[in-house]
Amino acid sequence: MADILSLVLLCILFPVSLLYVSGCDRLKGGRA
Amino acid sequence: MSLNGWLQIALFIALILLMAKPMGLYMTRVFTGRRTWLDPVLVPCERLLYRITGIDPEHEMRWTEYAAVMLVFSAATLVLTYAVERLQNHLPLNLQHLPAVAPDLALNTAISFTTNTNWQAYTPETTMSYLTQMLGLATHNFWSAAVGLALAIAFIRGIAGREKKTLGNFWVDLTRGTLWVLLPISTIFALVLVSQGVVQNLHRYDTATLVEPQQQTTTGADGKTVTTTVTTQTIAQGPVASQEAIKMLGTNGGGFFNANSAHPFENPTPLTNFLQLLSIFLIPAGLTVTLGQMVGSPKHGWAVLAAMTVLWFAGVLTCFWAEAQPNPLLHNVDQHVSLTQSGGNMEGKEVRFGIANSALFATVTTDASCGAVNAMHDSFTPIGGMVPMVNILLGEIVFGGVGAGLYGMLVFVVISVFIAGLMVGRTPEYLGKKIEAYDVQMSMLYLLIFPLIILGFAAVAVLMPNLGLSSLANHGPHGLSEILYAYASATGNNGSAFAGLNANTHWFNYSLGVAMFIGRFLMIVPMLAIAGNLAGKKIVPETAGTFPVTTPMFTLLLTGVILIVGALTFFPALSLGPVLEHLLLHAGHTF
Repeated sequence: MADILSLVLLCILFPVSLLYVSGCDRLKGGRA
Repeated sequence: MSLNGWLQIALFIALILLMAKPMGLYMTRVFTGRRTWLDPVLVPCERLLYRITGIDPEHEMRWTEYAAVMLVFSAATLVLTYAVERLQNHLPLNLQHLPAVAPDLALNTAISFTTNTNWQAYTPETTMSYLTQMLGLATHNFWSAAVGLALAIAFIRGIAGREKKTLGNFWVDLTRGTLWVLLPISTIFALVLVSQGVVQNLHRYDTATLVEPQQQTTTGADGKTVTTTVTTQTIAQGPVASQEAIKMLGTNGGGFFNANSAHPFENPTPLTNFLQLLSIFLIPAGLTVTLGQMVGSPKHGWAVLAAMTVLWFAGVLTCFWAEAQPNPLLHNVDQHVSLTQSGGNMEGKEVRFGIANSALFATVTTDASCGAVNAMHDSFTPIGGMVPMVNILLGEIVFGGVGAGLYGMLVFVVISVFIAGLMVGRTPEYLGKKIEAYDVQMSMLYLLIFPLIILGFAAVAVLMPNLGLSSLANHGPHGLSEILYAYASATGNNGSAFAGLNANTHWFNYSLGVAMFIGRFLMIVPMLAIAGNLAGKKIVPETAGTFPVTTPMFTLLLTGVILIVGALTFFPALSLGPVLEHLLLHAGHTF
């Protein structure tokens, strides 16, 4: 169960970081 | 404060300043693709690696691609470490038959080593097998340092670039940083450490019979005390030197043993202690010279190095002074330095290192994002302990971690130039690049994430008794310092512990894990965004109104901005922690 929680956390953190990259780029008005 | 102590501190900084230039020039050659004396051996290795992995070294990356590839690489290596930890009981080189690492601790540790933090909520010698130490943790000591180095170089390329859309190739920077910088130096350093007595083997732990048996009293679950006689001691060992070298050089800090660099197998002699200190600052100091070389303004690199040196000196002076003071609660006790005693506060310090080397180590390890310790920061005086905490809270930009220190400092440079521009009413420029709204927005994002995570998580831990307070060994302002330090250390990717806090709980493992993750990756992204934006700009010619970034005035402004931002952000929390504890200590209260 705790393994699943850990992997779920990772599955949230990394995609959110990639979205964050895209968001910072869009703030400039560039392409994502 | 002894003269002997000051001489050692002076020798340390003199050698760092002497080594900065050759190290910086060497790294400039490595990252600009110029010839080095290691090329005949390493270029074939590099080409082979690219051929095996299908990497095109000529491919240039925009900042978004650079960031995305870095994130994917970090995710993959993080999962590898997590898997090794969870499966170590089924894998070879588990000579002590240690069980699998618990899931929350395994996640915390995997994030910790991936992010160059090396926070250790576990006792290594009783938790990690040799395979986990080598394949799961020591590899990250190389990778995370190489990632930091690559990011700093990408930022420098952003400053130096003229109307370019790209920052280089992450894989090339990662490979060259590892092969040309980290591997050769850490190999030589590991051999030097072995020559001094640092252990390097794959033996099972030894058992020694005590010369004098010890009585040990423990309290059982039923509340009854049981006294047992201990007649043997387990002597832990393993492949220590190979991990120790990169632990310091890569500003990682995760000890092979729980006692870290206070352990005689990790740091056996005064020489190893001095070399470990030098290796922490070697690459960060050199990177300032690399900055100056790559942007075509060597004096700018020296100006940044000067700001770092000023802040380092302020820290070591305060810490050494505070630790050398007599304890005000010990009346009628001679606490002066003499041939028979170190004087001052020796609690939590190794007698063989004394006050000067403990204060210097604590300052250096937290100026950089190293986190290795040779003394217990928790046992420092309130002001002495505040110095490492402040160093971390300033963002670890005083020399800083490998790469991370320089790019953190450069974000402060952008803010300083912006403020200087506001003061004279001109559009701010940094080495010919106009600093515009987007650059300042990203800089502020970088600066705000850091205190938000530290103060936010610390507030939750303090306000929820079952989460944070139950883990404390000390209460009052000292307890607040312990929690504040933990989140500062995690978010700043330092990894040193103030101690006195049981961090191996579900709450701390997960919350500190998230803090480490955000403190690394969510701060890198806006930094790379600034670099990408700067790379695309035109160089405008310098005029009489341009604020020079090569003068003592710039060094002074940069130092002032760093201190003011840090003070405005964290002064209230510091007032309730170490400052209050200092005042109460002199009023006769301890915690």
